[in-house]
Amino acid sequence: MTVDDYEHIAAEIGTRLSANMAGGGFLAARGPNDEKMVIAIQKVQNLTNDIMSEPTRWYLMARVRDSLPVGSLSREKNVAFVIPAERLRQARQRGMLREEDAPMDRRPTHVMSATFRSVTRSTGRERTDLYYCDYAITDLGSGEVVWTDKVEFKRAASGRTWD
Amino acid sequence: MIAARTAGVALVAATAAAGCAKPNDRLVLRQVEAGEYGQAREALSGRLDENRTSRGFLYERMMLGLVCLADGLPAAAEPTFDEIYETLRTQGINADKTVASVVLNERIKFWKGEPFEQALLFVYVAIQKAMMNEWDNARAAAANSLFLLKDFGSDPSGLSKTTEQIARDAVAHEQDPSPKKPRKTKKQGNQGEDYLDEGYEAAETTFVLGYLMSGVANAVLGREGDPDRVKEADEQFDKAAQIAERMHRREQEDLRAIRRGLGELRGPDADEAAARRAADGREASLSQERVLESAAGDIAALVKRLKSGRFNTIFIVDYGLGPTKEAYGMDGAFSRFVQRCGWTGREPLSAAVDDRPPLSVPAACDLNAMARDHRWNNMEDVRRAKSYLGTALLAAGAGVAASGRDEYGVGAGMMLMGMAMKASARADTRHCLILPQRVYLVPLNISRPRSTVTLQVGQDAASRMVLPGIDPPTGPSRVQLRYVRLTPTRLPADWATGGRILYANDQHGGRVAGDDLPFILGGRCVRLPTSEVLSHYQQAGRLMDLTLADLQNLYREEGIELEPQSAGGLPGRHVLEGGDSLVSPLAGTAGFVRLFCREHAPRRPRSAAVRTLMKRVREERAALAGRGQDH
Repeated sequence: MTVDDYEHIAAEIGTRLSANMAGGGFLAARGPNDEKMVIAIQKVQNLTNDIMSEPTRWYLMARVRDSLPVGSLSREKNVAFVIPAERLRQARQRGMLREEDAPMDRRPTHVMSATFRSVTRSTGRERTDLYYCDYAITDLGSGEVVWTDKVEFKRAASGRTWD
Repeated sequence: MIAARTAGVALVAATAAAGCAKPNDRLVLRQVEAGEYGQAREALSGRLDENRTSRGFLYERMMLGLVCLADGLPAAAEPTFDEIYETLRTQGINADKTVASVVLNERIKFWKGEPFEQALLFVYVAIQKAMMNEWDNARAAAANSLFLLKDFGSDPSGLSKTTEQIARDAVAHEQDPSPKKPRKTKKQGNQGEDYLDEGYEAAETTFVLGYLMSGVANAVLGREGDPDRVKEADEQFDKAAQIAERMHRREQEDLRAIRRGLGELRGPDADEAAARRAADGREASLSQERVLESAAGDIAALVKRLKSGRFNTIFIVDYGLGPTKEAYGMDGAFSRFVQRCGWTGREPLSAAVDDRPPLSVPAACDLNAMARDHRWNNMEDVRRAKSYLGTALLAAGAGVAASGRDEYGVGAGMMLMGMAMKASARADTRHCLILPQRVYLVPLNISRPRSTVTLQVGQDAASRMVLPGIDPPTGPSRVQLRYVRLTPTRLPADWATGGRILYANDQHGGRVAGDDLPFILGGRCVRLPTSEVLSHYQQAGRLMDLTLADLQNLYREEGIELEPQSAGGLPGRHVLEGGDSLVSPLAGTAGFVRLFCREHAPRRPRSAAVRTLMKRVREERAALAGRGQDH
């Protein structure tokens, strides 16, 4: 996968999650006075045949979060996104902490996760990798998946090979 | 005369281009043989071949990655292994899931390594990721090592074909007048390459180590709550056991075939000279091919232990030095791997935690056996031989000089081809000089902080290594992986077996005598200067008038790097060996032992500030000693 692929995935998922939230979705019934919903972001789990660096995996989640109307979600739905404590510590050590990443209340009620999978097919002089990227928000109390969506795409590698 | 000189120059140039080991490669080999991985890193970094069309591009990076891992620095190895991974994944696998060694991409032809080197490299990438606790990336890398192999079958005696037998078959196929598949068009490729492209069967890999590593990565991911990974782990482990059993049976069959062949060669009708030469080769095979009766059974026992989950620490242990590549046959047109003198066999590894009974672990990978098998080699030398020497010469036996019979009609053929052609036909023998002879995968359970693990291969006392200061793993998966390169030497090294940590460092939480002063001031502490470390010094009554900024400035005055190296950095030599780095190798690696478990000469201060402070510290020590209050 390339940088453009990551950008495409994150933008696509961000758009779909925004649309879900704006159109009601799993936040439809929430108001500003409801019990706080704290969504902890996990890094992408990689079950593909490609290596994904640590920064890339966090980027894919942070980019989705950044595409959401975080401010209005906090005001109107009492929803906050937080990063895990370990990542918070690392970000602090590197001076990369953003104010919105360190809310006072860090007890997560939900978790946002993503899993990437791939299948490889080879024909002729090309190799095609099919990627399937699955995002979900899960209620930690009930275990219920309250939102899920996916992006699929394929990439081909080419070049003549011989022994 | 001028023509002769020109031809001579061309011959020398072509020979050089064919790829003998470079002086820097041999220097790195000597340093690895001495366990001096810091020096090896220095020799390699900054001098990497940037020409992607050169074999050096891959092999130098392979060496750099391996010495960084051996030195316990997986973060430093990451950029190198990521680059290797990208190279190996370029285009990647063929339609039938076998791999190729050379890729032409955007008119750039670059080398990806022999199939056995590619498989091993994928596992080393997996090891590097696992050492960084990136078990999903380790799983991805290990899975890529399980590609199918090109099997050109066996000879009439039942032994796996050699490269020259395959070359003869390719020529015979080409000259066979019987109907064949439709000719390929010029666009699709040379008809002469048909046999090499299509005369094989895609066969299942025999890479037990790849299955074990893939299984371990899946098992660890399964511990984090994914039942599909547990199932995949068990499948990979079972596969490893099945392949080990199948290989054991095949080796037994090969031995029987060799013994039968020897009997036939010694028969009354055998050509005496040919029989002697062939017998010498095959008897050498017998003596070198020590097949342990229990080898397959030991892998099954290892698999059983892995499936039980009774481990929280995996050691990947490299032992010895792998085979070297040499050219042979007429004009050195063919290449083969031959085992290095003294590095043979498959004795098990003994691994003990503290004073618990040792675990005996079989070799999961024997590079001598892999490199000898045509399925793990590429056919590049066969193609080159056909290209430069011509089909006619090969058909006449030119390419099978191993038999020693001169049926070539060489004289006329070579005069026609010219001296430069002979040199150009020489096989490229460049390879990674520091690959191990065998690899072990050892599952252990570390339950106490600062445990000591002792490793030794068979009765080889020089291989013994004592690894102190290993803590149980932390983190969500609760599994850690350590790579250990047992020093490939025949002389035991004291530092490898001392077992005592002599310098306080950032990987070891315990106390060390003399750690109340930094090394740069004559003490035994090489931790990064932090407020916690300064507090430790001051609680011992040292450096009472220094602030943290003062302490850090002392290091800066000495030119010592204080910023921890991230994945993008390659640390230089450690301060203990005269360098400027304070990056500590991971506990449980050879790098940790060679740095922190042996005495080093005191550092000679470079700055006036440190010299002044050292003098003051010495005076304070003398005063305290005089009052009988020294530590």
